[in-house]
Amino acid sequence: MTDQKTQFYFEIKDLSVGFRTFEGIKPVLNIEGLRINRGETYGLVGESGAGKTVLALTILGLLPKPAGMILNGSILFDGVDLLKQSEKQMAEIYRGKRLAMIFQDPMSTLNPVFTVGQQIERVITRQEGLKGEACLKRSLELLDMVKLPDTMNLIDKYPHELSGGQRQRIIIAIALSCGAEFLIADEPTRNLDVTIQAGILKLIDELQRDFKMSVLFIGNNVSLVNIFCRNAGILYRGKLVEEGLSNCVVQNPLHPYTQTLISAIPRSKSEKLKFSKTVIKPEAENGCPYFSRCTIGKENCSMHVPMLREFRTESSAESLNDIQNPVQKAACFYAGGTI
Amino acid sequence: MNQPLIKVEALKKYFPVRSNHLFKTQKQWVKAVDGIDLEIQSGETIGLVGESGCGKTTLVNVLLRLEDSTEGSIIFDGLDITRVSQKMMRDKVRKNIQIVFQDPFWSLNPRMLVRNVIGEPLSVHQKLSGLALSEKVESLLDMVGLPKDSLYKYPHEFSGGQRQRIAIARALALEPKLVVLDEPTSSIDILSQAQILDLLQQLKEKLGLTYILISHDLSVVHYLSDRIIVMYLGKIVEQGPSEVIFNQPVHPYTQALFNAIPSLSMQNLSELQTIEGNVPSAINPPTGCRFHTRCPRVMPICSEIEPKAIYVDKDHQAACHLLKS
Repeated sequence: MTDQKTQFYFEIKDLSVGFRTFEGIKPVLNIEGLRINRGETYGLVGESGAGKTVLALTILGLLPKPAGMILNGSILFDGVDLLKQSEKQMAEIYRGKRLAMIFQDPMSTLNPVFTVGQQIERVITRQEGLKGEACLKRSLELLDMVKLPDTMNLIDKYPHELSGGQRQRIIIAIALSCGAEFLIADEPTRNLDVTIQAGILKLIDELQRDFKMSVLFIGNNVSLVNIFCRNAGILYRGKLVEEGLSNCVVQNPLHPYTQTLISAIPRSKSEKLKFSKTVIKPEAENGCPYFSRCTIGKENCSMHVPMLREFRTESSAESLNDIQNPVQKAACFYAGGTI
Repeated sequence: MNQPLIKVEALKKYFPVRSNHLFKTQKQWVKAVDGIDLEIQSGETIGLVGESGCGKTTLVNVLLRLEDSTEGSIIFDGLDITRVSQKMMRDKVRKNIQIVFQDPFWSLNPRMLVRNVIGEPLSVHQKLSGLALSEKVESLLDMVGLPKDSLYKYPHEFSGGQRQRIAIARALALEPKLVVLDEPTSSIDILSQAQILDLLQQLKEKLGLTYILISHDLSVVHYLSDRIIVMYLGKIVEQGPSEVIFNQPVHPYTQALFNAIPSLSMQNLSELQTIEGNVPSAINPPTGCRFHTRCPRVMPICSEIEPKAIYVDKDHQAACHLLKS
């Protein structure tokens, strides 16, 4: 572990990822910078197809090759560039041990032909070398940790005998079985009921505090990210268009995309939803990725790509005192202007 | 009082389960829908909410007669559709009840052109073909906000939101009276969701439709519904006007369900409530009140006597023992 103050615990620099297609390489992800401090929760919000999952897979080195290509950039984790690690190093040192991931769909993540116990034990045996009694004991501990009842019985059950919430808890147990310090949660509550969703989030939150983990939370629900994460980033077509403290972003969105995203959440019947009439303009090849749907875009938006700029807004100024990095960033030439 | 568009009485749907014993043929039943009474007025939007496994989808399948009911009656337009023949169903009823399915990636045949996807009900029921069919489909596409050149495209050429529009156009092709929306926005992203909700609202006003909306996203239900029905393990626990249910729910289950929705105004995870435990099995539902195993305000009486639905207000009903005292 490095003690350098200037270095961030987790940092993505100029990352660009593309997919090989018949029409040449198509860029899917283009992130100038994304930083997560130790013990911090960062929520990444975006539509489907924005590149959220690709980012998660890239971090873990699970990007399908040779279709997926890392074109540029680096992902620094605790001072080490993950992209430069060999597959063997990733598998032995990082993946599953220091980095863990909870995948999207609890219904299809677990293997249906093995019992829950076998699936947990396999991971522990591989990563920690435990066998027999010790292994069983550890598995039961893990099931306890995720607050599942009747663990002795549960361990011999097959995934189909369990509900979605229980399965997701088991997946969390497996993910954290080897003391991960960095957790990627890719829409962990996507297919779950709201009543169960709250329980799973509270569990992740508690474990995050207990283990002092950093969490990269990927979601498409802005209000969920707002509640769960300290910082939030908004991803649009593979680019980070806005970033900041999550309640600043929600209360005072700067980028027109974030503004539409937040106004698109139905709140109550009395409140009429605001729809920016989507006038689909032609794509701007060299310009802002949001240009084709933007309502305030001017000519120069189609010529240049806006970079993330720092803004000091009133809501961020209030919380300035206790936070190191209070600025809100947005990638728009006309950010902050009202639609 | 007007005649309700659809009237459901004591509707039950049980599914048989095979027992594990080789020689014992004791039959067990999953009581997916267990005695539901319901009236839907023409022009209303009914929101059906509840956790997965509470019987929402089964109820709708029975209403559409995709499944035959075990007991009870469904009177639609003066006709008991649980008893009529399949031919009668097809000739008289089907064109009046249509459904928009959950996942537009599965509900559209990938090998059919949009013209045929939307046009199929028209060619079956109204015997349209050729130019007349194309024109009708074009006007339907226009109604749901899709460009006319979509006619000769395949479903894979569209995004999730656009596909859902195609599914809506197909459902509306025969000018039905009742449209069932089964999680219409759960598999599309939030921006398209807002547009689809807006479209559904507009179409309802324009065409005078009646909707039954199923969703676990309560904000969606709140946005569209006039009346909300909360189900738990095959029974209705509370029903009433949308605003009342959202603002003053009386049943503990409804209260817990609504406190679990994240909203933009929440700051902290602790503001989200959880309901302990899982939904009990529908094979052996708990005795008495079905929610008593998870209810935060459980009383001794709850495990013994099943609460009856009580009118809290003019059209607000709930089934809970707490209401008597």
